Amino acid sequence: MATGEAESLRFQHRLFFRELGALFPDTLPPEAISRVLDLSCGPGSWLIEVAQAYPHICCVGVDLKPELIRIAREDAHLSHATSVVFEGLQHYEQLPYGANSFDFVHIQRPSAAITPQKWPRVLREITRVLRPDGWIHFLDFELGPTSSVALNTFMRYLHEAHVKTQRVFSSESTALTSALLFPRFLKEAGYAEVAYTLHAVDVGNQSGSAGKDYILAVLAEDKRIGTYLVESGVVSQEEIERVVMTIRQDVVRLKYCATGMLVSVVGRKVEER
Amino acid sequence: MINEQERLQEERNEKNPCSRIASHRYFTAIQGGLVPNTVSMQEVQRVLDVGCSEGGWVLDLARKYPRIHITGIDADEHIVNEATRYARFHGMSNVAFLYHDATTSLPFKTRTFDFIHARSARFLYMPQRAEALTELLRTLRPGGWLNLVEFEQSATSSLAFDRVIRLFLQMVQSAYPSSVGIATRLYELLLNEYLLDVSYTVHAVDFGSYNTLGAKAFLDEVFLALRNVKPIVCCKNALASATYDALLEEAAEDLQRPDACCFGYLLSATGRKDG
Repeated sequence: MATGEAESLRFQHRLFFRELGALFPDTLPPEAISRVLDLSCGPGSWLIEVAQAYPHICCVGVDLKPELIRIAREDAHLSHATSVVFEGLQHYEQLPYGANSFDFVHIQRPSAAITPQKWPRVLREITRVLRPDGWIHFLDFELGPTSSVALNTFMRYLHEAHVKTQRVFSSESTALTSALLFPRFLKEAGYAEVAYTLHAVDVGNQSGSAGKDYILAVLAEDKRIGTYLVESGVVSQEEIERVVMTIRQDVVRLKYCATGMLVSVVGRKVEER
Repeated sequence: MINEQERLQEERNEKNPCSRIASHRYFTAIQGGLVPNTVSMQEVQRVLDVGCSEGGWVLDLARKYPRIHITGIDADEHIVNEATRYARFHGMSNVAFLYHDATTSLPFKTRTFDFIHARSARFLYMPQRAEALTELLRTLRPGGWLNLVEFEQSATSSLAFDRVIRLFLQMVQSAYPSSVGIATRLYELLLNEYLLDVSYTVHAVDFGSYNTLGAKAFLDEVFLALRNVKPIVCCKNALASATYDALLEEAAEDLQRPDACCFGYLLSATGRKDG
């Protein structure tokens, strides 16, 4: 079950970094970074690549799912990445690290990893383990308009379910992720040089299979997402099965066109006065 | 009812060419140029721009390629006259502007153009879209290129802006049902016409916190359009005029915050006529 999730997270990583072309934001030279924390690291794809590309960096990855941590450790072992450790945690509100432990905290898909209610405490905790002048980096993905009516419908159901289960900051917003609110959160939390960059991603059929594979990998877990949608009462079992089947047909069509946006947000922790 | 004087003022505002040209250049910069790089300009002599508006794209292309001839058509007579006056004043002889609705048959011979361009063209929203495309392709020579460009708004950190955009889109949807999601369907439209080498590009349009002059010009236009549709939106949604105004004001304030975030997509699809 979690292997399917690991696979979909690997697709996600490949898609994101094919677009970004670099493991770290342009403004931050990796040479200046020596200790990295990857919060909600999943199967560790990003962190293992960091460990391989920059052996001088000490890498720590944490996730709440023991199965993903097990896969991450295996992958690290197979890729001979020795400067990386993975740890399973019970929650992110209390991190087992001392103050000022890291230069860089990376969070991929923060909207999926952390619910709005938990954010204030998690951000406070990240800020504690981040050293002054260290950087926080959020990387989120907001699926944009697509030519598949079924996929657009699916996203609308997902949004409705997120609103019902309070997984979005505001029911008023049409965005599925909280990506666009992170600059504000970081500013309010006292971070400096807060900035965001956008990368439009073609996840349609013409750009090769990465985008399509990503959608299919997400749908491969459709039992999990489908159950979530049905249990939150936004859609019936029959309806979601019909929608998912149509998406599967749509995304392999030659005429399928889809967009998404990678939102990268950075901020620098300032010394408390 | 909207006050007549206010309406006239808004109409004048709407035709403010400065902000429109700035916003045209903003999109052009985002697309990385006036012409998709799949179009080989050495093979282009005659160009048609559909829905040319004040002629920003036509004039910029004419300046860049003085040897080619460019025709712009638009369904707004006033704007076409303005563009003609401007071109004459600047002594540009390689451009022509024509008052013409692209959903009716075109006053051009078959195989006239080497390249046809349409950005945010109104005919794409119309029920006669398919017929209009066929008619456009009639005037394109075999081997000539067709390039369609559309913008689509996506996410924003401003709840007020999100809400007002949603109201706007609902209104557009009821007026032009076929316009919904048109940006991601351009690719399909070109494939359906059996064009060759069909491809598209996706570009991020980042206009949070009015971060550039271009973004500001574009947002000014968006807000102008939102103000212009106020009577219709308010009537359709039983919304008080003052509530709508307050929403617009809140949206504008939100987007001026330094931590504001707002983006959309620009999709550009290109294909070549079989020949």
